[in-house]
Amino acid sequence: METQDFNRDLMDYLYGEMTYAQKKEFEAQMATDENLRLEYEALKGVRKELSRLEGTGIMEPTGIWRNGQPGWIDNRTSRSHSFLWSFMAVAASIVMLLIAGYLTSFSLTVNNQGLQIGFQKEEAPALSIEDVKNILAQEIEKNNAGIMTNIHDTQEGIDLRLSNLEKTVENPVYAHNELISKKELDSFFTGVEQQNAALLQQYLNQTSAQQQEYFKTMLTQFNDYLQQQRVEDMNMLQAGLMEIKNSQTQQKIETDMALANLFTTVRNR
Amino acid sequence: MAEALEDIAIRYSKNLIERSQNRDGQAFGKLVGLWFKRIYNFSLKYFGDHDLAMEVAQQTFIVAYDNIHKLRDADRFKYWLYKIVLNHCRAEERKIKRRNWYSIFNNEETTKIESSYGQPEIEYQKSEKEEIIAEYLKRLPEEQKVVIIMKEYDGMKFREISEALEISENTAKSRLYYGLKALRKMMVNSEMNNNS
Repeated sequence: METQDFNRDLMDYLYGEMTYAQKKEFEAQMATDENLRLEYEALKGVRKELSRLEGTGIMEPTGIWRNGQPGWIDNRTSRSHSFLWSFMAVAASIVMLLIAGYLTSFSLTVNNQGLQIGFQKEEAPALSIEDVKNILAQEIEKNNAGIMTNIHDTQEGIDLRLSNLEKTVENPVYAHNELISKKELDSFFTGVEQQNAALLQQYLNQTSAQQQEYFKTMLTQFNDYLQQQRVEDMNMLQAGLMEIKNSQTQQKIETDMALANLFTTVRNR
Repeated sequence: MAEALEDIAIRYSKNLIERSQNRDGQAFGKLVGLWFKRIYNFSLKYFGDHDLAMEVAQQTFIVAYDNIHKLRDADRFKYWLYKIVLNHCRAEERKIKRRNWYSIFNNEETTKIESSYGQPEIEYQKSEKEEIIAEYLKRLPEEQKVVIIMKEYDGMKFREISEALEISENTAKSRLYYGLKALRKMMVNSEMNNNS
């Protein structure tokens, strides 16, 4: 065994993490190995010294958990941390405001109209009523033009379709075409229905026959399997009985031999 | 008796964990009550300082409350919580080292963690021996110290330590072995010094 293994076994033994058999084996080893025993004693001594340093029965600080929420209060750390964090938060907010103000060209002006807050360098010029009317008129004009274009396109499409339809009606093939009578149509559908019914009946018959054949085959196979299983069980039972019989015979012979030996021993005395 | 009841409560706290994952503050409050002592004691052994241990324990539960909904398996709560506290301990230690390094250049007094076992507010009577043991623990390499605390004071199985630290069981055993050996060496040297 290597030294490393010895050390690991020693640790297992020292801390009682060995099975009964392992423990016995290790104790036997220790009985023959003086160095191993001395090392064990030394480490046991160290453990004893370490046990002097017991844990304290401290409870969690008061107010550590309040109203189902963490309420950590530690005078030494939390106060300084909370002050630092508050200061950092305020400073960060100011910096962010300054950056946002710079990027959006924030402006604050007071004039005869009052206080004005803006986010652009130049104020957008205010629109007069006339300007608004002009803009609206332009938009309406644009919209009307668009609607007129759409109407025109639709009209053209309808005209084209009508002309195509007229051409089709005037086609000689369509002009001389005869209509199929209702009677002929009925007889065609009746024929199709009869064919379908015959096909369905045929399919059902075939399926039924196939299923019967399959069940027959399966039952035959199952019967064969049961017969085979029975034969095997009988063989196994027979073999077992033979084994018991042989064993009994063997035991009888051994008993006879033992008795013979006993008689011989007694007689010799 | 109280300790045993607490352990049983911790083992059956799966329901509390699941309720906390659904932002049930009352349930998390109960979890804090169950685990605070263990987490505080872990940090106390790590630093040997009451204030730091208190701070780390509080931060651990703040982070746990904010992130408990991310915990997929409630059965792994224990390992998850130990990972958080360990991360905080390491972060605090790094801060202390940085402060000390900065202080050297500025001719300021370096921050020294004075062992505060037995402060008046803690029901604990300080003894010289305990001070020495705490000091020895602090001197150990961090990876060995953590395994010793988990094994010796938190009573974790090697399997549990390996889960919490994401290392193999054999690595945990090796670290423990070398940690105990190092402590033994410190104790022997101390005895020799005292005798001479």
